[in-house]
Amino acid sequence: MLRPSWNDQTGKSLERTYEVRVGHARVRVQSASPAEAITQARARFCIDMPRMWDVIHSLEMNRFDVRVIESP
Amino acid sequence: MTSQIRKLPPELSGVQVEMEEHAANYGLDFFPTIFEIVDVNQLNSIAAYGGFPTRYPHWRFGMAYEKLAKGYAYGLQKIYEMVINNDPCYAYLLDSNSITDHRMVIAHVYGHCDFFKHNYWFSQTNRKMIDEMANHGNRIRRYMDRFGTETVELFIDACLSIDDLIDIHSPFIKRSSEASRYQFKANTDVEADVPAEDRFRAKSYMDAYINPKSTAQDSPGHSADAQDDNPPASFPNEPTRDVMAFLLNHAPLAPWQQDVLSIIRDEAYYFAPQGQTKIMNEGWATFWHSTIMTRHGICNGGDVIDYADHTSGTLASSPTRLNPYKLGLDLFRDIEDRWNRGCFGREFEECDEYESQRTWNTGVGKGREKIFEVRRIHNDLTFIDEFLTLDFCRRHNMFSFGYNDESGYYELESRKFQEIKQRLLFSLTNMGRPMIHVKDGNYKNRGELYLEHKFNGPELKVTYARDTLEHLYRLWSRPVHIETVLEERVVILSFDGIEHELTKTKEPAGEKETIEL
Repeated sequence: MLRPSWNDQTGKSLERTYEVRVGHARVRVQSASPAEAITQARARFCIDMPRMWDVIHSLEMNRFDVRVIESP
Repeated sequence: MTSQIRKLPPELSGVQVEMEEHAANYGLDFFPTIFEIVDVNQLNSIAAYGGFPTRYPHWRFGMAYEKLAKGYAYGLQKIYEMVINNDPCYAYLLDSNSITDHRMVIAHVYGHCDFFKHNYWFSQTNRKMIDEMANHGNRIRRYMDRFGTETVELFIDACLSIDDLIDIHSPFIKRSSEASRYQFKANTDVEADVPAEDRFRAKSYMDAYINPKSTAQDSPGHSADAQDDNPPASFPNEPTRDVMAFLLNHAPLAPWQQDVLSIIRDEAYYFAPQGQTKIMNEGWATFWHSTIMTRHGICNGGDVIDYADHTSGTLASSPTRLNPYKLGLDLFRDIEDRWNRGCFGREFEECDEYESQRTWNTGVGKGREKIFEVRRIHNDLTFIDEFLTLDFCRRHNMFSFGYNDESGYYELESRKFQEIKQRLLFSLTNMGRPMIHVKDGNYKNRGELYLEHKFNGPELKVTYARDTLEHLYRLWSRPVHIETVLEERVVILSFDGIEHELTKTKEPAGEKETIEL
């Protein structure tokens, strides 16, 4: 499901800051939904840990722990 | 060897099964692999024999053993394992290794076995070499019984002095038919007088009766007439790089000598791909043992220390020596990372912003696929040429060094990428050995052998060249010459059976001045 990242009526961003954790690794990302946050976090983890690219790439969504840090 | 080689104990069999499963799950594919456990003396003696305990006897294996044994006793070196390119693969494990070492070594072995099976440069090697080596050993022992150990060993010495003068690409290019490769009578001690096509099949002890000399001379196909009508011309028609094959076909050798020379040549071809792929092969095996161990092989904190300790020793860099394990591993990791992030292709190459290139990521994820492709088709030379990039060179602080005659020290020569890469490629071309070919087998129409060294920078070491010429004379039985370049001048080194001569020329066809050595 596509979710807009901007509120059309107020013009404010709907993006939140999420902290995404997997194992001991954690990263903060701005996104409009937890699913998008996981996608972004997955890409960041791949860059930060290139030797684990294949593992991170194939991790199930439920292995990521997503927490809202900051709302708009 | 005094004690028996042992099969794996149950606890290690379990480790083998586990590691094999991990390796297979990552896509490694290998011949069945037989692990045997040996003590340090056995492992050193197997290593001294190049991995083949049933090999022919020769003094140099004893020398190699002494070197390995002393290196181990003084704590200078330790062999963790040996693995043999064969179907099935054989791997020898050292019994004093800790269980963590065994896990690492077994994972490493599966990396090698996969490489042996799938790398193109190994595709023409004999996969039954363990049997073949035993066969070679039997044949040479028989010649030693018959002609004397010293006679045969001296002849082997002569053959070994030229065992790198082979054409490493010939297994992939049919330059001659299989039949013409071996027109001598291998494994017999009868004079090679009957043309191969006229011969009847016979055991060596019956050969003289079944294919008598007189029959051969009377046969219509016998070409003695050719010798009278056509005086011998220069040959070969084209320079030939396989000097050993040339000698097999043209040197005046007894049949047993031809057989020994063919054995040494076959073994040289068997070992050649290992020399051509040292960096890749070790890099690949280390890549996989590292991946498997860090993800599945470490059970407790103690294992981490053991693993890290031994891996750091294996991957240690030296400022004066290239570590093939480290360079190969780092390159494979770099390739995987680049192809995962999409750092290849025209768009990436044409991007001239450093920061954009550094953070480039298309998320294409083709890294694993790419490294399997690389392990399939490349050898060290093409591997370095293709994948050693400026960025890699910078990140790993690579430099070239050389000996400074004035200061008497090895010194850093350059940090320039092109110079470093060129130097590395030089050292890998033809496995770092000089490129030498036969130019004329009838030099000056006197049946002398004329070799040519294709000079590409490094000079021949004159002391080695002189010794090799002496050995070559023993094989050819007529004066031998080699054209090379010393101190920027073309020279011809010669040996006539008594003394050495060095002829300097300004140009290959110019006037020559002769200096007695």
